Amino acid sequence: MNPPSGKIPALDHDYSSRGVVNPQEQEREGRPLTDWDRLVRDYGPMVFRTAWRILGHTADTEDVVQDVFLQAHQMAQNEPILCWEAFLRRLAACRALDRLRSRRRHAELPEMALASSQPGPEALLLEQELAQRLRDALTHLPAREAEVFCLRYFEDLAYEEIARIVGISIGAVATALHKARAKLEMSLLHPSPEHA
Amino acid sequence: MPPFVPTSDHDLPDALREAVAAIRQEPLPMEALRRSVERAKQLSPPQPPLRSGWTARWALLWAAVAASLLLGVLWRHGQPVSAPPANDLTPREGGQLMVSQLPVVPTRPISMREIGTQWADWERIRLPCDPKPASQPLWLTVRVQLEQQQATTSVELRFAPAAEVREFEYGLPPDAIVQGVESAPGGNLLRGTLPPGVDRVQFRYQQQLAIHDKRYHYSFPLPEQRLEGFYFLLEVPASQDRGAIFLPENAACRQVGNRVRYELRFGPVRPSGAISYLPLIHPLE
Repeated sequence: MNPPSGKIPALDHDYSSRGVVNPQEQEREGRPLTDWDRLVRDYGPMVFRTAWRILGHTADTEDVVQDVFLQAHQMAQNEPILCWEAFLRRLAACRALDRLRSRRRHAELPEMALASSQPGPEALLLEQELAQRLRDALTHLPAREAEVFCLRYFEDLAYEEIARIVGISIGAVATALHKARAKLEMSLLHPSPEHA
Repeated sequence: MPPFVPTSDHDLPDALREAVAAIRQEPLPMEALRRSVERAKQLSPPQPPLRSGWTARWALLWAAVAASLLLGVLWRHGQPVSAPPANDLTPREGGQLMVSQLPVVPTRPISMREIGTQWADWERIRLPCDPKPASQPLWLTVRVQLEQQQATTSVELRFAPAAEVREFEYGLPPDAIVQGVESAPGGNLLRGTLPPGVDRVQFRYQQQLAIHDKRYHYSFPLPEQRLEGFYFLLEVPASQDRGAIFLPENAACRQVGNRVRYELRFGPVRPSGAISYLPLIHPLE
């Protein structure tokens, strides 16, 4: 597993100060609540959500979450992680995009939701098709552009925060987003024969 | 499902905005999320890494130790090899096998500086009796004192300074008696081991003069191996030297007090054969 490219943002290493120890939760788990537990509890949903929106597949998302925390665990023993939130968010996006590209080669069928609160199966199918086409188009983008696009439009992050997470300037973020939007729009409006 | 409120996709084209909205509206599989979080908690807490300051200090410390070791080895091997100063060749009291040490290179306990940089040196230290090419002495000094029928020969072998264990051999006359050594191992060969830093061997042996053609005869065979220098001195009482024969005849002969001294000096090129001295005294006398 390769570490994400680019600079890892650094703000604070003392992740033990994040979150508040809940004695009931500690008692329910039957073991002391460690700093790592608090870290996973606080940022696990965020990592899962980031990977889920990129992948849209339950099993793949679970695998990516495990990969992210395993790699974070290994890297934390070698160098201090000063900002866990930014680090985990970017790591999740990178690993999910990697999985999305590798999944493209396997040509899996899109996962169908068995139970949904959508108004009708027709609208649900249309949305699923749209989402799937966008995910397929993401796999054709360069890694930097795809990463910036996901952080901006899937995670709803500001330019400044994306620049800090990825380790590039705000102008570079804007440029990457502009290129990504143009390429994705072209892919959606004029799908390739393979996707069609 | 609450209505999706776009926040950041206002700059997206219409087609792209709908696709992004579709992705963001997908509900999270909560059971999978819970499983993932629980599984990630199973990892043990990572140990915080060492501070970078400590790493830098350790690196500096190790660099300083390595540099001092390297300088020590270079200083040791960079010392010029100088000829040992001439000192008193008078054998010590007791007349036994002695391994003396130079004043400038005193014998010290074996340390890293003595061993050098080759691992083979360690093996030699551990196996001092390991056969290896015999060390060649560079200078040989022989001093003989004749008293009646008995000759006392003092020998000094001087080697080039070295930081490794060496062995030496010396051929003794058949009837030589080395005090302190009951029997020379290997027949007439006197063998020994030179510790690192020792470059000089002195020993003394006694022998009865042989009788040749009804006369006493002292003979010292010239060594066949290459030497940088050879010095021979024979002292005999003046009363005993009357009518004596010394070969080769070009030896310097002078009388000091009541003793006569024969001296010979050779460089790397020297004659072969033997040094002979035949006093005039008769065995029956």
